[in-house]
Parts: sequence; C-alpha cells; structure tokens
Amino acid sequence: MKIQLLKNKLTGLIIPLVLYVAWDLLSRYELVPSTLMPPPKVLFETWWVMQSSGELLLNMKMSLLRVGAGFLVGASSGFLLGTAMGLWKPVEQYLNPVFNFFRQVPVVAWIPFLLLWLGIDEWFKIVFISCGAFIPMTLKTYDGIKNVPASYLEVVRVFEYGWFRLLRTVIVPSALPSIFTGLRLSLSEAWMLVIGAELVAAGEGIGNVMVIARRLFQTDVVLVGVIVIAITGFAMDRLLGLLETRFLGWHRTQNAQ
Amino acid sequence: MKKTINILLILALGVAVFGATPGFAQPEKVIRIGFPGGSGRPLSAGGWGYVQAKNLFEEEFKKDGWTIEYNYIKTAGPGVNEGLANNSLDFGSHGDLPVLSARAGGLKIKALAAVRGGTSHLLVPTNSNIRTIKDLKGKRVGVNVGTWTHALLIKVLKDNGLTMKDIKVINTSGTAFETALTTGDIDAGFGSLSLIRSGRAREIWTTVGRHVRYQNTNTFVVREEFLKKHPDIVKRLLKVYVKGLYLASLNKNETLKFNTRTGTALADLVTDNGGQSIKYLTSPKLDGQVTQQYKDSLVLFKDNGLIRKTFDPEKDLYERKYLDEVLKELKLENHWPNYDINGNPIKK
Amino acid sequence: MERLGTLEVKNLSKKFRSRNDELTVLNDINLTVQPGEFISIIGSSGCGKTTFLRLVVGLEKGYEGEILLDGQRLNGPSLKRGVVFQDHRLLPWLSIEKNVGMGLKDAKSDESRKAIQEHLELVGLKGFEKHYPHQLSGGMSQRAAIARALVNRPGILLLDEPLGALDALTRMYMHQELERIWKQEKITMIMITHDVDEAIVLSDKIVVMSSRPGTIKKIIPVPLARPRDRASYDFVKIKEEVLEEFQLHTEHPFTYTI
Repeated sequence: MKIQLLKNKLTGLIIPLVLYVAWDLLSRYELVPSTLMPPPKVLFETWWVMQSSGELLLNMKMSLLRVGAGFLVGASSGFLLGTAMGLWKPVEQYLNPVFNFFRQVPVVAWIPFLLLWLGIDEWFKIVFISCGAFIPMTLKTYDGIKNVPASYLEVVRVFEYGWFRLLRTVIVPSALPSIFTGLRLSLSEAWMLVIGAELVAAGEGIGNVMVIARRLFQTDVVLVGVIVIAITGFAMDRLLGLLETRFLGWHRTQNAQ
Repeated sequence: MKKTINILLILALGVAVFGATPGFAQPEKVIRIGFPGGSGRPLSAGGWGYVQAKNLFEEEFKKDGWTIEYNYIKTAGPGVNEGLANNSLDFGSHGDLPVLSARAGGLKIKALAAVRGGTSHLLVPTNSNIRTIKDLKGKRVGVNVGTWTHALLIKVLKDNGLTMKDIKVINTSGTAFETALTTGDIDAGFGSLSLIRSGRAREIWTTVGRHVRYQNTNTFVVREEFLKKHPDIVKRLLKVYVKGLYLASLNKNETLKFNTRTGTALADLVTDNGGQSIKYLTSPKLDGQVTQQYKDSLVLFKDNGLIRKTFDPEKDLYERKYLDEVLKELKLENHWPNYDINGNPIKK
Repeated sequence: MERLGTLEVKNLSKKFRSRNDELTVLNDINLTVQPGEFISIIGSSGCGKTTFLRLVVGLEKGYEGEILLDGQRLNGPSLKRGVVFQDHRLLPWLSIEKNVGMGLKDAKSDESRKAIQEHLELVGLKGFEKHYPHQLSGGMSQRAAIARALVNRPGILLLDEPLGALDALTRMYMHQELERIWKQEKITMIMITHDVDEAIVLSDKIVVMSSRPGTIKKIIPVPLARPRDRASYDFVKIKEEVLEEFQLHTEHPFTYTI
C-alpha cells in the first residue's frame, strides 16, 4: 500500500527528470543557444545571486502580498455570493444571470477598463486579482450548495431540522469539498493574475522582475522567475491540499473507495 | 515494457513539438535589419535615413537576388535583441544599453560601426510643479526599460545624487507613455520634442547642448553566425552604408531635410542635432568616443544591476576589420576624424 | 414511554401531474396497521409502493383521502415516524455516533448519549461509535441507519427496501436482526420489499399491490410462529399464495423481480 503510493508519486517525477536531462544536454552542447535556453547550472547560479542579494525575497513578498489581498477579497466575496445564490432563490434569480453574463469575460479583457478606472498602482492589481479569484470561488460554492444530495435533505426533513442546524449539519459539510476546490482554483487564479498584473504595470514583484529582465536580455533571470512562480504556485496548492485532507478526510477516503 | 513505450511516446511528442519550433530557420537571400521602432514613420534618422531613402542597399543587391527587409521593432532595442536571438533578424542598429546588455547576456553579435547623435528630453506634464531632476524624488517616472533612455535616466539621476530606488519606475513606451504623461498617470519621462510642440509637456532637462556622453551612441551590429556565413555580404553592405554616410555628410541641410521623412519636423531636427557637425553625426568609426563611453557605461550598468556580468567589448563586441577595409577601398580613411570621449576630433 | 402507532389509511389516491398528462399512481388504498404490527408491502415495480411509503413518511405532498396516525391527519414529516431508505443515507462527514444522534434535539445531553449508546447496542454496533460510514460494510451501515431512525423512539418505522442492496447471506442475518429489534422495541414496522421470502419471514401481514394504478390486490396474513422456518410446509404454502397473486395478475410472470 505504502510502496504503491510512493511508486505513484515517483512516476510523476519521471518526465520532469527526463526533461531536465534533455535540457541540460541540449544547452551543454549548445544545440539550443544559451540565450534562448540557459543551462541549468547558470540558472542555479542566477537563482543563488538573486536569493542571496534579497532581490528575490523582496519581490516575492510583494507579489505574495498582492495575491493575499486579492485572494482574500475575491474568494470571500465569491463565497458570500455563491452561498447566497445557493441558499436563496430570489438572490439566485436576480444575480445568477448577471454573474454568468460577466464571467464569460476573461479577466484579462478587463485590463484596459481597470487601468482607466484605477490607474496603474496597487489598486488596479488587487482589484484585478480579486476579480479572477472571485469567479471560481462563487461558482464552486454555488455548485456545492446546489448539489447537496436530495437524499440527505430528505433524511433531515424527517428530523424536523431548523435552518441553522440544517446548514451546519448537512449543507455546509456537503458543499465543503466543492468549496475547497473553489478555494484552490481561486488561489491558483490569483497567483497567475498577479504575474499578469505585474507584467502590465510595474512596481516591485516577481512578474516585474521578469519584465525588466526580458528587456535587459537576462533570459536566465526570466527562467528563474518562471521556475520560482511554478514552485510557489505548486506549494500553495499543496498547502491547501493538505488543509483539505485534514478537514475533509472523510471525503478523500470515501472517494478512494 | 508498456511503461517504457509510454515514456518513449511522450518523449517523441516532445521532440516533435520542439523540433517544429519556427524561427530557427534562415531564409534564403534576405537581409533583415532591425531598428528600434515605435515613434515616427518606418524610416530612421541620420545617415541611416539617407541610406534607406535612396534605396542604396536594394540597388546594390538587386543583381544577386538578395532582398532587404527593414524591420521596425515596437519593443525597441530589447525587441531587436530578441529578433537577433531567435534568428528573425540579421542586423540591428540600436542603443548602448540594449547592445551591451545583449552581449552581457551572451547574445553573439559583433559591432560593425557606430551610429551617433541620439537625443532626448526629460518631460513633465505642462501643469506639473516638477522643475528640476531633484524634484523627481518619489515621483512616478515612465521608463522604456532596457533602452538607452533607461541608461540616460540613471546617469542623470546619479548626477543629482539620486538612484532608481528614489523614484517609482513605470515601464512604458511609445504612445502609452505619451498618454500616461498627459493624463498624469506618470509624472515624468524621456520623450521627443513633438510633445512639447503640441503643448502636452514641458521640458525640464535635455541632452541637447550637453556633453556627448548623455547622447545615444548606437552601434550597427550583425549576428555572428550571419557574419561567419556571409562575410562578403556583410562587407558589401557595410561598403554601401559607408558610401551613403559619406554622401549624407556632404550636405547637412539636405540630410536633415531627408530626415523629416521620419515624421519629425525640420525645426525639431535642427533643435536636436543642428548644433553638431554633420561629420560627427555621420561618422561610423568605432573610435575613442564610442569605446570610452561604452566602457563607462558597462561600469554604470553593472553597478545598477542592468547587466549581471561584464565583458571586454574590444574582444567580444567590436569587429573593425570590415569597416577599415571599406574605408580604405573607398579612400575615406581620413574623411571622418577620430573623436575623443568629449566628442572632439583628435588632431593627428 | 408508551409507543402508539395505529396507522389508518382511508381511500388514499395519489396523482402525478405533468404538463398535459395525469398519472394515477395510487388508487383507493385502504389499510389499517395496528400498533406493534409488522407489515410488508410487496408488488411489482411501478405499483406505487414507494410513493405510498413516502406519503406516509410525509416526504410526498398532495393526496386524496386520509392518512391518520393515531387518529391525527399527517402533515409533513415528523419525528414520530422513523424511516430507513434502501441506501443507508448516513452522512459521510459524521461519525456513526453522530449519525445516530442526528434525530435528537440535543445530541450532547446525557440523556441523548444514553439513547445513542442504547441504540448502537440494539443494532449491534457497539464499539463503532467513532467510525465513519465509509469504514463500515453495507450491512453495518444499514444497521446504523436503523439505529438512527429509532433513536428518538418513533411510533412507527417505515423501511423502504432496507435490505435490497445487501448480499443474500447478510440479508438473512439482517432478517434475524430486524426481527429481534422489532420484538425488543415493540414498534410498528412497515416494510417495502420485493423479496417474498423476506416478507414471509418478518411480517404479520403481507400487502400485495398491483400496478397501474397502484391498488391493494390482497392482504395475506402470516399466522406462523416465530422464528419462522423457510422450509416448513406452511411457509411454502404462503409463498405459493403470494406468488400466485403475481402470476394471475401480471402479463409477464416474475416481472416483480426488479
């Protein structure tokens, strides 16, 4: 059982390993110019320089702060709207069409409009990120509540539950896996959009480091940025995944069967 | 076994995808020259403008079936670098920061000739209360990151005891910069005289009339691989180019008039470059003025993190062989003097 | 606490209306169930037996006629009627103990704890308090569902094919268990089933229903001593009597097996 689990995890590492070796060989023998694809060794050196100068941490901190603010605002308002639409018919009838209409617009399409309204400072970035985080959270919360199995609702109807107890005992726990999925989608969206926002408008941040590096022909720095973004995004998702396992153990094991 | 096959399949897919990447192929018999674009019509200023307007390259290479492609890259010097890196350009003519940062970043290019005399103006909105460089502290300054004006801003700030950390850098260029300046989204930035003439901006500082080290000294560069493959083409191209510069240097007024084809008013051209000798403006020589300025720039760029490692331009950048041969063949060795770091001709 | 549980059903009819159609699902059902009786309702699929049960539970609204529990007309679901569904419907996020306590007003009180404990013991799940539903087998889950339905001492327990999803051996074991619980709790039970043996083993009366529209075809008493021997002559005779109802009144014999 444990060995199988380990094996599954290691299988996921095969392709990255093969890619790494291929990358190393291609760049080592200059089959791809180092200006287009710097060798891993150079990246490690560049990473170390950026790390030890504090440049990387400072910029990561800025980006993460923006993600935090945007995610907090976006996900919490998404949770509220999703819950309201899921629980109250009138709210659903009034807001769901509007929500569905606006969510067809890719968040990046709002950039010119947001820039016009909010300028290029922090407000723009945070509003932009929250817009992106808001949508999956609303959808998944709404979905989760709408999809509470009717069979469970029948059970509690027999028990004459009041609103609060119904919510606490059945609706919230049943919707929780979906809400967690919403949280994860929302966070990864926020993380993608912070990079997008920083590519558009300057200020400190890992996305901006990459823009400037690109302009200064520092391909290695751009690539270090890509890798750091990937690792951070992966780590944040894993963290939420761990929280999910912690709180939704029943769900994981149930689905595994 | 099945697993191995799966992995091989995935690898094959990867190779297919990477192998099919465009931009690696070299088209036959096309010479592709890249310029920083974004302002003005697709035509360059100075000697280049003369060469282009008279179709000198096209005439020269018509008989061999080679065609010329002038590319104006919206993303300016850094964009030219990208074109050279992914083989979509063969030549470039761009500023000190892009050329030096490209070489520092490992881009294999050689500088064939110098292109002098680039000017710029530090602008603020007309109603701004910024009067001097020192007032820029804490302000949002529009910077076309990676271009020569980026380097210029660093120099100017340094003269006033400031660094880039004292201002808020907004990466912007072209019309976006002009709009942002007029709407007040940014407080200052380097731009052209046209903004002042249209009453949208006020100048607080300019390169005009100052030491040449503030001016832009471009270089005409070629991709090393292209040079190795077609040294004869490079030499012929350079020869025609120098011939054009010679013709341009004979009549300053006519050359300036030619340059109005870029869309810049004659009055502005006169303001910007009228005070300098046409010989200086057209000289292709990689002389002391260029090399000393580049040497200083490398130090400045390294100190400011614009380049991460330095290099020796004498060894890694300048390729004087072709220019020297061409000047000799055209008997123009003494047409242009060598200039020193201050832009003064060195008397023999 | 004395448990009542006389169920009277008088002239009960139920129609489902779609846009331009009306389907009579139940027609003129009359049935009286005495306190402590075990009744099985058996019939081919589509005979309306589940609709009947849902009406009695109160999960289905709108009917003609009367359903009275101890003389009172039913109005929606109530704690007075426990229900066990074919799928156990335990909430996967609650422990067995908490699932069983779901029907109690205050599951944390000492009284409630006692009731939960007693009922877990009743269904033989002592020691599984902290387990989660996914850790239990099908039979155990169904027993937990029975404990949950009984914990607030309803007068009547309605079972909708409660053993339908279990394998044959578990089922036979559950027959014994169900009988024991019924005896111990002295509760009225109404069970829907499509298993004739199951109905005969457990019931005092078997209600045979026919379909389209669902009506009561026959009520067959099972006056056999408990525990019942499936191989006995009387058992087999009653079985034949029940089966005959289907053969006579269905176009395709044995379609009652779902």
